[in-house]
Amino acid sequence: MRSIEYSEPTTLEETLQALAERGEDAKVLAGGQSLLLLLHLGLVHPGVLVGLQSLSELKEITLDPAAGLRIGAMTTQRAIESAPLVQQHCPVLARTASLIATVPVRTLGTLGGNLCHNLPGADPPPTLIALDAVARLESSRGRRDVPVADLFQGFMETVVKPDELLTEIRIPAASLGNHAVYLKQCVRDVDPALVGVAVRLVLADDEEATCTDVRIGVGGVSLAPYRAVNAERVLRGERLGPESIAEAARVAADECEPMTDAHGSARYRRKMLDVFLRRAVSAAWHGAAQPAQR
Amino acid sequence: MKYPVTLSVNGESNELLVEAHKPLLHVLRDDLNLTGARRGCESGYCGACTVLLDGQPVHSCSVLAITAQGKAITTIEGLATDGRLHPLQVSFIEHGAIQCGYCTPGFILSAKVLLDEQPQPDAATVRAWLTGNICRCTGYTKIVQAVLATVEETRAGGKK
Repeated sequence: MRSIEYSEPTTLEETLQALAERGEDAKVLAGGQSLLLLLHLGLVHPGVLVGLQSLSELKEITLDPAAGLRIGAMTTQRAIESAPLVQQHCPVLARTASLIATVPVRTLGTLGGNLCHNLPGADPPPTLIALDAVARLESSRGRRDVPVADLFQGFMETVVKPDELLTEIRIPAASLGNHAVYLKQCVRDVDPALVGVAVRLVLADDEEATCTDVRIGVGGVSLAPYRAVNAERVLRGERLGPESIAEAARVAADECEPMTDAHGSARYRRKMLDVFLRRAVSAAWHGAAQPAQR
Repeated sequence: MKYPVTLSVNGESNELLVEAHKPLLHVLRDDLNLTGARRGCESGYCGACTVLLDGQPVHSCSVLAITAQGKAITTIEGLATDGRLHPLQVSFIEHGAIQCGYCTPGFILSAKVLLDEQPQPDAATVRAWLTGNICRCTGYTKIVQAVLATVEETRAGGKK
């Protein structure tokens, strides 16, 4: 292995400068729970690791009644699952974080690192897609805001450029509350999701359970997480009920492009997407903020 | 490239020269001769290499030594005080919660953090917390019993 340099900038400007100068030769080290594994396996060969741990401004969680919830990219999963602000205003995200791997991994692993790694079956992506979350990417060239639904490009790939840094995730105020769920199917509790489905419902104020709007995020099924737009279309403007929910699940299962790996076959993933999408919509409908089912 | 690094391990300060990509686990075992942190999967799954960073459990295989500077590192060697074993260590011995012993330091350090944060966990909480530690002898029943017995002892006003 060739010699690796380590740099730990103390300001965001210095960090962006380092990334601009070194380009693809640099790798951003956040919590290290994914990158260090790739490094030790020899799957990545960076010339320099740019450590973010001194950037304390990237570890903040703030709530603005108008703008919503802002979570710094270096916030750890343990901080997210245990933050009163998140538990109170965005319980689905606190619960999602609590389902990731194990306590030691969540102690160091960060939200930004999780998203940029884009491992199939990662838990936060479906939830953030359902929440209409937006990722802020900064570089020395400027900044851009990318909906999390557009962040993922393929197997372990994202739209984040080598000189860009994901600095924070914003969850709009309209997405906060109790009407969203994330359900996960996995072999052991510590595993990534074979199928992870997040659903957020907006219901009309009537007796008919009319679904005025819905977001569905799916992870684990295919090479990258995605928004199940056509399944949403089945439900939007319709009355919720066993039939409309089953139809949305059928559309999602028909349209998915499932993969086969050591943990499950494509056929199984497609079937489980059908099952878990139905369960997730029902759970969101019945306002179960913390469903017992995984 | 090697960098001068100062690591505080079990209350002692150590000055070392380490390569940027070297995991804390290797520095503890090879440079500091603290072999309580075990080399298991080196992939962040098995928990055999668990140590505490500022009181929180981490996989020392998945932390660079260079980023552990300025943090209090605790290994199993640092758990006993004045030659007296930690109550969890005593309980693991009393309950036969050790078979081959390879996973034991990781289990005890993980359990210590749980009891520091939630002094009265129930069995389900203990099991959920310890999912990050794997025992290849499959001695989980005794391990959970040993942790719960420590909880009982603390509740009874014992010597924590």
